[in-house]
Amino acid sequence: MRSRFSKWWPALLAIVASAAALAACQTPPPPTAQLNRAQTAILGAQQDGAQQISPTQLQIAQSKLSSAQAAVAQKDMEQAKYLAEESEMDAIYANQLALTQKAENVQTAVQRNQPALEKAMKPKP
Amino acid sequence: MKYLGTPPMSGILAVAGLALAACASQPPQNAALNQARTSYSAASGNSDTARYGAYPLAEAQENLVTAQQAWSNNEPAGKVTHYANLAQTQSNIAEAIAKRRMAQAESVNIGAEVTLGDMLFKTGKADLNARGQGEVGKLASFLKNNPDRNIAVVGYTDSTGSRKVNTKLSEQRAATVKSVLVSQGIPADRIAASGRGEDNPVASNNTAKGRQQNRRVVVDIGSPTTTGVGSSTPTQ
Repeated sequence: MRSRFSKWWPALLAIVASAAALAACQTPPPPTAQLNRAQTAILGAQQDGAQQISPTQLQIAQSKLSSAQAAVAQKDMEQAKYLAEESEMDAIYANQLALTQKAENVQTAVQRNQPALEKAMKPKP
Repeated sequence: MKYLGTPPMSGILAVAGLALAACASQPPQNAALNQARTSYSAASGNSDTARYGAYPLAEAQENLVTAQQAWSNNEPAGKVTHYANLAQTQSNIAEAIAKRRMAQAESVNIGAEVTLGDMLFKTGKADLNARGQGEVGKLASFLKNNPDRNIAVVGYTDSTGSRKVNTKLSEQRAATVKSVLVSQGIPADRIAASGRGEDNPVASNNTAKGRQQNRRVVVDIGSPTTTGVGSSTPTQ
């Protein structure tokens, strides 16, 4: 019994290994790095007030991230990667718009010579 | 015999002619690509955007070329649209950054004397490059000439490495700038230094060039005041 099994186990191992390799071929890995970057960029934009200042662009970034996650669930990894990369870029845009709006608020305050702008210029805690 | 040989030939020519006509009546159209091209032209044609948004514009151009090539090679529409969308957003980012620089330059009223340039760092490093040293030197003389203005120095990193390490590194980058200013005779209490790690990227962390743009220190110059932004306690 025992000797018969040990005779066959290399062949069994080979079959299992090739099955695993085939499975890996069929489903490429999800674009985890791109998804994480999109998430990070969205959080950064939110911290800079994009929710209030540039909600439309932030919403685009968030919905593209959701679509990217849906694409991962459907095993469409290329589409997921495309959407995650676009989501990151949209979040950067939302973030930059928020920062620009703040700078323009400061500019307006300077023009009116209002001292209230210290608050706006303070770095975030 | 002679007669039999000719009809197939004319048939081939007719088919080729039809195919050509089909090409001519359907000029290449992809809405996203057309729109991105228009936005990029507008952004790069504006001198302020071309100057202050140089990096995102270069990225936009690269993606526009990729989209165009994919279109020419009849690659899937999804690919064309993807690169066109990136180019579109990057053109918009260039405009947003340029607008901010203009607003900042005007509100600090320092004209060309001190540019609010971002100081870029090597991966994992906090020491200033030559350009950064020059920027800090200009900043020091500005602060000497304007004793009623304080500054906030904020460090950033790219997304490589852990959040904890990045926060620390970004603080070190801001601290480097602060210490150079202090060594040039600027009182420490006029400079608020802080770090925000990998937050608020200005470019995609997906490429080496983008990550380089994100390894930076940004200087906010406060308004003329007696208390100033420097009064917000430095964190480190």
